[in-house]
Amino acid sequence: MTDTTRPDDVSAEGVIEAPRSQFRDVWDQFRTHKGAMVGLFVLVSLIAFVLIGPFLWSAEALKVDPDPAKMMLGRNKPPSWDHPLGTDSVSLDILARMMLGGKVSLAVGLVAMLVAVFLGTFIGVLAGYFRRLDGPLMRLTDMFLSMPLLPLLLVLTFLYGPWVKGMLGVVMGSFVLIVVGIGLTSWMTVARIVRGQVLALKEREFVLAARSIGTPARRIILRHILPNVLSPVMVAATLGIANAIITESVLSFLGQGFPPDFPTWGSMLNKAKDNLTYPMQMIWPGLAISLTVLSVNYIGDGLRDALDPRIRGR
Amino acid sequence: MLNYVLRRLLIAIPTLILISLVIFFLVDLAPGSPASEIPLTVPPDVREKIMESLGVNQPVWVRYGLWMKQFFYVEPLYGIDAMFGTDLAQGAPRLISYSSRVPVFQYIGERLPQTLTVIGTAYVLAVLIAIPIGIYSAYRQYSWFDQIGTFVAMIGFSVPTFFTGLLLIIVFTVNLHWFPSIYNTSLSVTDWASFKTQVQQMTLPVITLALFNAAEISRYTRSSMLENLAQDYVRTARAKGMGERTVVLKHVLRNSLIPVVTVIALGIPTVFGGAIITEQVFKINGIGAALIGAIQVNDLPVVQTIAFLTAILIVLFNLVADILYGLLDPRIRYD
Repeated sequence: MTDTTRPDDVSAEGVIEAPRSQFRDVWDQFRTHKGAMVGLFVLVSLIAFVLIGPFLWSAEALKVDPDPAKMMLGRNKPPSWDHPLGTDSVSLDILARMMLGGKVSLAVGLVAMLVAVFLGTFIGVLAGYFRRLDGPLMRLTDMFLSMPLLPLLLVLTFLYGPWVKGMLGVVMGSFVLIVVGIGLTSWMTVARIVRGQVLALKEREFVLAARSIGTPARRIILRHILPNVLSPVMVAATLGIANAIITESVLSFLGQGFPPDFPTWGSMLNKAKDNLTYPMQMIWPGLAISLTVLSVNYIGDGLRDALDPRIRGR
Repeated sequence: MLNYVLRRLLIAIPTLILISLVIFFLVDLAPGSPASEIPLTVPPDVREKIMESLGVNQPVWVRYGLWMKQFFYVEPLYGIDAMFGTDLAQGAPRLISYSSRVPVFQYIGERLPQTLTVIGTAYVLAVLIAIPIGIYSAYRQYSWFDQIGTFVAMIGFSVPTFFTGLLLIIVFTVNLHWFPSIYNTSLSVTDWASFKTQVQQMTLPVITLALFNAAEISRYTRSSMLENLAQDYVRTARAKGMGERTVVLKHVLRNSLIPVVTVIALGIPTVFGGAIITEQVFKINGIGAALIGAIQVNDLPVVQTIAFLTAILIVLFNLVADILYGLLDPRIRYD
């Protein structure tokens, strides 16, 4: 039963196994989740479509043809070799618009998630680590959770939109407004998760050891606590991307995202909803949003399982 | 318990005051003020008078105080007057919409029934569908029913409601002509024919919302059932020789529904937020449409009041969820 002469990391043949990194373990577990792998594949293809696509397909996506006769003749065309997905109501190529719109939608999702995760982690760590800040910061979190977020986001974009756009330019202004708006309204879950983790970690021996040799709070947080809260934050961040993409498309769908001549998947959908005689114009962007969110949600599920040490290695 | 409820109610007051401050100032300090809606051709003295009649030339704090007073004191008095035919309010100034000059609460009262019929039906339907699916999915984990159920739930959870709504419109209105895509608010149900029309026009929005909510609730039910099915008391119940039916539907279900009930309660106010989109897709003339319309024309009192009412609902249902949790689960003690 107990073979004391052999060190633990030497296998039966006497070959020393290479030490396995945690990342490797997580990846091995992640690979067993079929949905997550399919989701990862779909998401990578969508990102490739959006980033590499424009190099391979360079039809006009933004400028409406100045010749009105040509523009009118080319409207709402069904798929053809010139326009694989057809043209929209001002005779722009839908495939090219999908690529451009996807870039904006995915960028908004990613950056808004980063804003939310940064804010949430910051507040969560402060609340968890410093007992004096815990009460007020958690009250703040509770208050944000009790706010009617979508109405407030709409108020923010409707009422402050013209002002921000006047300061930063139309496209940049919309981007900043939407990203900051979504970030400000979705950091709360991350903050709660991080706070809970930090509260538990703070009592562990390695933090005590670090403190006993006089490590300042800032260093303890950055070196010892943050790496340990990374995994739950990663899951929340993944799901946050899905949430941000949906919120952006909702705002665009309600006509309050980016300006109408600047495509995102949501605004393409908004434009196509009044043109239901040509349903395909609406289905492509809708499908793209749904596929992105679906794959991101599956990846989040897989990541949650992979990062959970109770499930991993079973 | 009573102690706990009272304490929570007392905590809710400062929270609500803070939220009301945030909502009021966020809306009020916005650069696009009602004054900018007045055409530039209007002479300055007339403009002054218009501003005065809107009550916007007073300092912000006075307006906030007035809004609070009207919201919590004057409007309830009018409510009591309307119900019992008394005259408690005695013509005190009410919250008036800038654009339509109608009292805001009357305006909301006109819009609320549409929202409640559609969204209420959808939510009830979602719960009725989701719980059986969640139970069976968990009981036969990894069966084909469970696989399909989880997949459909994931889709319903991921696909945004505006896309499902538009898809349903394309299939059932544009192609099949089964249901109308526009909700007719002025339809009153008097006989069998009008009831049928009402059901028809409600079908698509209700399906859209029910699918989305059912997906979420069934996921919760499934995971909660799975957790309980693995517990020791289930084995004990089976060992005692109880039928599967009793074990699952009595022992396990009761315990599994505790978190589900709180999720359902917490979901009710967020449904109002989600309804904004569905109302926009199907052109239902409800609260969400009122909010969007009010934001577009800078009708600040309506925006503030609807937003604050939603906040009150959220705080209220948070409390309800917590109380339900305590009532249903005797392991939880609030002392």
